[in-house]
Amino acid sequence: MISPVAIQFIALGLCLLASLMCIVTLRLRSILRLYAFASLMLAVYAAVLAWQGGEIHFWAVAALTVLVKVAFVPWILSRSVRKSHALERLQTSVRPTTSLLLALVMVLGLAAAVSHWPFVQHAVSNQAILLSVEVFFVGMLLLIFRRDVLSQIIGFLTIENGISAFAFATITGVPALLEAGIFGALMFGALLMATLSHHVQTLYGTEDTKALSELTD
Amino acid sequence: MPIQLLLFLFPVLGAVLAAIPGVPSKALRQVSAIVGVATFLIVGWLSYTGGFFQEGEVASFFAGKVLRLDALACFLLLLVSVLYASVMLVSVRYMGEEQVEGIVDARKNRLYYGMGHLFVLSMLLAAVANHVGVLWFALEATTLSTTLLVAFYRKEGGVEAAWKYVLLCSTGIALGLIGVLMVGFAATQAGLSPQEAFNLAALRASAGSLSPDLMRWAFVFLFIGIGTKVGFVPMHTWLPDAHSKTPSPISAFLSGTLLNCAFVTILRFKDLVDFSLNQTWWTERFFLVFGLLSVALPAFIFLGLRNYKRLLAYSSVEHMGLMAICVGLGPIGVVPMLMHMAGHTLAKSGLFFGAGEWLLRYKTTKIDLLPRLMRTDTRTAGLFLALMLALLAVPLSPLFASEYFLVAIGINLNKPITFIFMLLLVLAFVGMMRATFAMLFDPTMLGTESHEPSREAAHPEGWRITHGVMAVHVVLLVALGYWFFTAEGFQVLSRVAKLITSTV
Repeated sequence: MISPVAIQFIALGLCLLASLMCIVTLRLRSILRLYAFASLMLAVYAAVLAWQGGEIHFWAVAALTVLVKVAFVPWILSRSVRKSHALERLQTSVRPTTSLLLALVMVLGLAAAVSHWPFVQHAVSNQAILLSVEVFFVGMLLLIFRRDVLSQIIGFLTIENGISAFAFATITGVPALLEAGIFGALMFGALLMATLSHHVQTLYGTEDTKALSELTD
Repeated sequence: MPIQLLLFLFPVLGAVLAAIPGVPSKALRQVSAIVGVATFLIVGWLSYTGGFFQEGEVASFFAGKVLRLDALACFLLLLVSVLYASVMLVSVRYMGEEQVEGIVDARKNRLYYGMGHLFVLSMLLAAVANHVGVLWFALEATTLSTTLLVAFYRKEGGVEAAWKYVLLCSTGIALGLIGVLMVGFAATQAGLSPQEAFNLAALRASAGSLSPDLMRWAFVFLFIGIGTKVGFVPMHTWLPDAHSKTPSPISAFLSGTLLNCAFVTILRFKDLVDFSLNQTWWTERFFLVFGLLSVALPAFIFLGLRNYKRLLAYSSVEHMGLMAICVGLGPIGVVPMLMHMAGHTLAKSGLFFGAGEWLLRYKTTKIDLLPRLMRTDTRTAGLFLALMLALLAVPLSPLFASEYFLVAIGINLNKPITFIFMLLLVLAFVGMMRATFAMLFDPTMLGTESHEPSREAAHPEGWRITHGVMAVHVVLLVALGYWFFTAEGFQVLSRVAKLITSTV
């Protein structure tokens, strides 16, 4: 029998792995699937916490995560992509292998430095915090390395996944108000970004953010 | 129901009205103007009867103290609501004209007002939020509600600006969320209940017991994250684009009050961190460094700018920098910072109203394509000049008061930094004045070879509601400039400042 702590670790590890694979993939459909999978693992993590601590609150969070991040957000993004006939191939300014290498260096570097973080000395579940911070930074890298609108959205959403995991790991009782606010902002944000990416595609005929460089001084 | 909730009544009504398909555009514009003025009156009454003239927290209200009213909240509310009334009045003319010219249709008109009212709603919420989660959500809502306004004209530059805006600000606010969570974590570690751990008043009451290590980290994330929204250099890249691409009345709103809401949010957290560290210098360094950067970069950029809306947008970065330097000089600097905030709000928004008037008439934001405005548009140009002088801190302007105090305090505390700061201020003055004179008197001043105004206005300039609003802003600026130098004005601001500087 695997212990709940081990399941937590595996779920977050898979979440990180899926986010790392987002950095490698240049196919539009697979990056959406990878994001949905990473979010699903986050939901599993929340569910295990709920089961372990017996808090109803976490069950609700797990259910909302599945609804919003696994179902709604990927759906709305793929719908917008279909509507605007975006290319299947994504754009990157750093080659995938190089990006992966840099990401791995970062992941290992963070792992090596973890014992110096102030919040880890206080926390109950150090590994969970480490993994959540790593997901956060992988999202940052995605945002920096990628040059197309959709990958940048996924980068932002991955950052948000990292923050959610961080919240689950550090604070057992994030107030429902904040939680609801985060999910609401995420849903509207995704909707808005999907709309904008549609505008970008129709105006510029490409999702490449290189085209978005008219405004400079 | 707590009486303070009246605050939200009219913006909600406005947003609901805009959501109704088929609502007549003209009626929507007029009702929105009434909504703006009514909200200002309510805020004025709430501030007068309770809040602005009293010490400490005045009232916590709504669902377990989620919202509260104190003097600082009243100060912000007053600024937001004055501008709400002004913007909605100016919009009657601005959107009306654009609809006549076929630039916007009825649907766009509804989008403008719907999003505009939601935007105000989120700023009002941010001003009175006592729950950290509500505060965070309100700030994020300001971004979400304005993104479509940045992309309003669906032109290439607008969509580009909106993309940068939503991506950078959302990422910034996400970083801020980490800071918020760290504060919450530090509070639960210190034994606060989950309810208290996210309540600003409760956090403040026990800030002394929060772990300094954690609070330092939290502040770094909060400062960088919410600082992106304030537009501190180097996180400012979205600001000139977004503020220049929105319809001009909304630009006035973005520059005039949204930046203030974000700025005050950082100050509320700064106070908690100062309490926990038992000193203020650690956080002040951030304000000083980012403040100087934010004054320096625009000061140089002004010299080369040819676009008057971008000029005003960059000037907002500069003024946020000035406010940050005020805070960086120590708790005593918070009073001049508040003066500066009030003055900047009134002056900058008035300038954007004038800019909107010219954009409507000449369809260009390029300075060298304008005629000699002092000759063709005397009313707008005269008011623009008065407001520009107020923005550049000539005496009688509240900005004169704030910069005077700033230099006086700075000279005592840190001579080299004050000297560099004054040099930068002179440079900014020269750049802004050069562009202003070029617009008003001689567009060839900016170095263009031949001066050919591409478009002539169809009609001679008439008296518009925009001029009335700009004139009111000038009067308010002079009145405030005087009041801040009186003992009573200074006292009221000191009381507001005390709410975020009580460590000393």
